[in-house]
Amino acid sequence: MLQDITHRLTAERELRETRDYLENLLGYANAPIIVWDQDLRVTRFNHAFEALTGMAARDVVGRRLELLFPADERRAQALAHVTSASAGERWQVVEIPIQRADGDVRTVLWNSATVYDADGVTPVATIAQGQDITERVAVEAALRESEDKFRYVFDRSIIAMSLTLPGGRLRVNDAFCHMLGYARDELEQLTWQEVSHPDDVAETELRVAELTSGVVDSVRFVKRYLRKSGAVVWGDVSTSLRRGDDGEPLYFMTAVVDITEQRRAAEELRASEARLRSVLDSTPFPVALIDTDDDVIRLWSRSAFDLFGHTAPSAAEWYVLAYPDSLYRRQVVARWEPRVEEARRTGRTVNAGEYRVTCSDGSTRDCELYATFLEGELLVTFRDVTERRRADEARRAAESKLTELNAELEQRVRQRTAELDAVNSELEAFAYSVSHDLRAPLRHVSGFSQLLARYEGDRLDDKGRHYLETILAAVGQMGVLIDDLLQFSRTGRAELTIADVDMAQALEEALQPLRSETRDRDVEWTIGALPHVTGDHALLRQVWANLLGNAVKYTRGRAPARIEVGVLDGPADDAADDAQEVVFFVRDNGVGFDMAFAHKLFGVFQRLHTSDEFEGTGIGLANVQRIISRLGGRVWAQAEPGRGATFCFSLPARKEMGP
Amino acid sequence: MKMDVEAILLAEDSANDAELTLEALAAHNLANRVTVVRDGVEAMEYLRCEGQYEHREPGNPAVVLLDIKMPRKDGLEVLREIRADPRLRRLPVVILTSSREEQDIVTSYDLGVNAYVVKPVDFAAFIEAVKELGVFWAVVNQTPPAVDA
Repeated sequence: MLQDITHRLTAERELRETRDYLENLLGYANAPIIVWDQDLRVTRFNHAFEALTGMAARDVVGRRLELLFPADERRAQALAHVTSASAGERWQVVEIPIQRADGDVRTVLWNSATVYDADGVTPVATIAQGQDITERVAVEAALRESEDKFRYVFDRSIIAMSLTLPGGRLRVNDAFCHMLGYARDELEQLTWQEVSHPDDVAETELRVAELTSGVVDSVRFVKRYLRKSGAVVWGDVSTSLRRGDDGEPLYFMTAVVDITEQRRAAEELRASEARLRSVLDSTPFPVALIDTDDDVIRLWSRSAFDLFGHTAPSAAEWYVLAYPDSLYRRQVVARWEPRVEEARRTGRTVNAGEYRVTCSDGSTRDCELYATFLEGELLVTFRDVTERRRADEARRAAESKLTELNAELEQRVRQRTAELDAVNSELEAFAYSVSHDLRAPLRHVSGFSQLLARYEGDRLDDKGRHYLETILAAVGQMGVLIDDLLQFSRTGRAELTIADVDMAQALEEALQPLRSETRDRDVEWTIGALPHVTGDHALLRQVWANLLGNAVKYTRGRAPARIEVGVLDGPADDAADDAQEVVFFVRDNGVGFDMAFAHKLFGVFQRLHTSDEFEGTGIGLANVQRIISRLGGRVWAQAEPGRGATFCFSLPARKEMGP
Repeated sequence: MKMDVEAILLAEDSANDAELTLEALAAHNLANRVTVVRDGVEAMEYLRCEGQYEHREPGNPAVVLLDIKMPRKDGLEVLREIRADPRLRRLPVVILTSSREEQDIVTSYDLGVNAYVVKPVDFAAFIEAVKELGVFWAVVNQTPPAVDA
């Protein structure tokens, strides 16, 4: 018995030691451990379980398992699990949610073991160990959602996207297929190189290398793809490299925006702008195209640069360059802006007036500016009127100079005229004196001589009477001289009456008295055809009278006397029309004169013959010369003693030719 | 026709001319009615009965013979004053001068002269001219009525 007791005691001690060990193991294990009996009442509840649930073991032990489960449909399922475990079923891994004291539900993975009675068949309790996987489940769910989203975006995106796997194989979306005109299964059989434009493969490989080497995380570049049809597609490509956790490349993620149309439009725009520019550059008028919203001058024609030597990127900067004087600049702006507004309002081209633009070298150009709005942009056209302006200015200067000179000339003419008038008045006074003062004593000499002859004649002898006669003859001679001198003076002062003169008629009028005077003589008159001239009829008649009178006088004693009148031929026949003058002549076969004294012929009171031979005062030819000279002609003579004389005078050719 | 011999006023600065004129008038018994003055001022004094002529017998001469060139006041000025004077303006005036100047002739007629005679140099012609003048103006011509003061 004792033996038995000892054995039993030993057995009990061993049992106790095992139980303590298990108690500690259970109590301090890191994993939550729970034990319940066949009535589903909790018998063990370790520290880790207390941490998991936020409940104390003393509040839970002896109570049914339900209080650990969420109070909803998940509770029944959880109870089904624990019931089956109590019936001896072993769980490999079962997910049973646990509701914490604070209401939070945790996802926990469980495995369990059944504790049997000593018979080894009757289950008495179930022990279960849990693992809180709440965080892991959340992460997995998020990952799943993310992948779903990515796939959704990838598949439905209107942007062409591809995943390029190591080796170059492609995974593409519908947009990528559409872009290149392939079916998806065709395209996914190809490599990226096979759908790239051959000229762009090398460039793409460089970009891939940048990504692979880790220099950059992503690249963006433009490359050409080839559609199935062979047509070129321009793509704006963004590629990034996705690496695995180990850093090894997994795939290239590429998005391609088809910019073919955009490039074509840009190309067209460029071509159109180039065309516009070439048009603008070919016009001689400088133009500027201004975006008035942000004051950017988008375009200057080359002619603007050629003319001004500089241009500016904005109107504000242009003002400063072109109008460096700030005062003038303000005037320019004040004048210019209202015209621009008018152009904007009316839609028409507005002449904005003239402006003086300063060039890069400091010189200035006068430009007429025109403003036109073209689709919201302001087109400014410069018309260079500098040369015209300067010519105008030069002309104005010349005109004013001319006016000045004219005024000066007129002033001088007035002065000379005044001087002439003064001289003329003196002459008139002189002539007056002659006519009055000289004549009076002469009359007295004559008068008293005659009174002497009348009252005392009887007492004079022949000699005395001869003296008286001589006195009277001298007085008479002096009276003629005075009258001639007065006539000569009047010839010089008489106003000219310039008109068309029929020289034949003027000659005939002068000839008339001479014909009767020479009635008793043998005179042969030869009168040639005489033209009309421009002159003074009365004075020309006097010229003829003097010349013909002389001819008659100096041919006295000739039988027959030959007197010829005519016009000398010009130097050449065909020169007659544009001859500068007409030359008339009077030729006689009279006594002539010695050419040695020709220079005295036309002097006042100069005579080449004595009064005894030929009467006269020597005033006739002086008068002729004075008249012809006043009419713009010349007088000259040719003679030889005893062989006649020829007197010539010229007159300017008529200004207007009659019919 | 009135045959009385009317008075003649001769304005002549030249004593020689005055003597010759008087000689010519005397040949026709006209000289005794001639009053001779030596310049324009005296002529106006005579005509207006002023100065030395203050107490002369009133009345206008039948004709005034005026030389042009005289000291102080010339013949044309005298003519202008006569024509401007209401009492004298109808008085016959003859210019008797050496001047053939057209301007003198034109001015004289513009001022209303009754005749313009150029003294001939030849004495016989001069005698004849003066005689005719004297006879015409002092004898033949009807003088205008006197103007009351």
